[in-house]
Amino acid sequence: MDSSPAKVTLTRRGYWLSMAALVVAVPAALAAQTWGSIKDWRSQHLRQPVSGTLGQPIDYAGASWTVTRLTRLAGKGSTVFLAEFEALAADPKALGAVPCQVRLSDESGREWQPTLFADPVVTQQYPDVRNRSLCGGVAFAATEPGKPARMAASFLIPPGASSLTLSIALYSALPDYLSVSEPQT
Amino acid sequence: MMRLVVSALALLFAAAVLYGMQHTRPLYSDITSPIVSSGGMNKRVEASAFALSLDSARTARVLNVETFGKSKTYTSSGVWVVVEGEAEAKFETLGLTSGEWLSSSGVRYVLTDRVPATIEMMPGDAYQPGLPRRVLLVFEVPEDAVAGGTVVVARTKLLPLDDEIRIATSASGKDIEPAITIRRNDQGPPWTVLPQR
Repeated sequence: MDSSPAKVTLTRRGYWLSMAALVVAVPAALAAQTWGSIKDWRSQHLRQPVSGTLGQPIDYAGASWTVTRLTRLAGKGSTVFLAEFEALAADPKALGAVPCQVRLSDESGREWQPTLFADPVVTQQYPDVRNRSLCGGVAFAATEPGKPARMAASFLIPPGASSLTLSIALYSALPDYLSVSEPQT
Repeated sequence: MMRLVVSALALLFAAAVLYGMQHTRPLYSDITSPIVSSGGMNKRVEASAFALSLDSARTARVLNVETFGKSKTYTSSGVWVVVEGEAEAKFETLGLTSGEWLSSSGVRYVLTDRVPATIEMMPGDAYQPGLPRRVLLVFEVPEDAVAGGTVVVARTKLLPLDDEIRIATSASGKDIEPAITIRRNDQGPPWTVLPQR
């Protein structure tokens, strides 16, 4: 067995080089393996708000969006929050196939999903909203170019919920989403 | 020689460690099993995403269901367990689609599918943050599965590492009523369990 100093030095150098390569190779392999999952997680969870104001149009996802009215209605043991909004798109049909998500959140981070006008108080006081779509899809598909797609969503919330923010997310525009807060009275 | 012995011992030690790890390895179902929060009747049990309390667990040999003025009787070779309580989402709107009766011997029974959909059982509802909602769970189980039974509720059976609430009921299996009626209400609470107690 050759154990000359030169050979030993070479062996040691190879050993430490291998160790150093491991420090780089292991994280690189982990990153390569999980990159797809990280991308999926980012697309689902990382959101960037595009803040708008009630009644003011704002450009989002290739259309001009306006939240026209935010109304609180007294329901049975709860409050019904009605959000009405519209979008003027140059090509409504292009947005017709894009999934859309509407949410309402408060200052403590609680988040409500729409109830599809389940509370009769909405249809009694605002019968016209029943014919509107929730968001995206049918609303855009049924709209002629040059005319706004009118949409609405209702939420069941506790009467004490405050600092409410409506968010509208079109999947084609993620991570951006439209965010409009209820005016403070 | 010494080096050889040390190497052999190290090899044996490594083999023993690997053997031990192989035989104590938890199953995938254990690693991804739900995160359980437990409690008893009439107590609000908190999971990370929702809270649940149960205030009534009744058993009967016959179940009557009254909806829209029509009554239908459901018999069983076992017994009916009718559980009522209240559920609330904590941070986001959610559904509670999985309800099970866990007998003291470890057998799980899912919610009955014999009760018509006009009676809103727990999986059919959406639970909103800050708005507690009454829940109804109906199980059809063998008579010997009643005593010491536990109600197990989760958002879904499919999500690994998700919340699960287990509430030990006070059912003894001895106070089985001849019949219980669930009546759908048009106003007020969505249903009433009769006879009232």
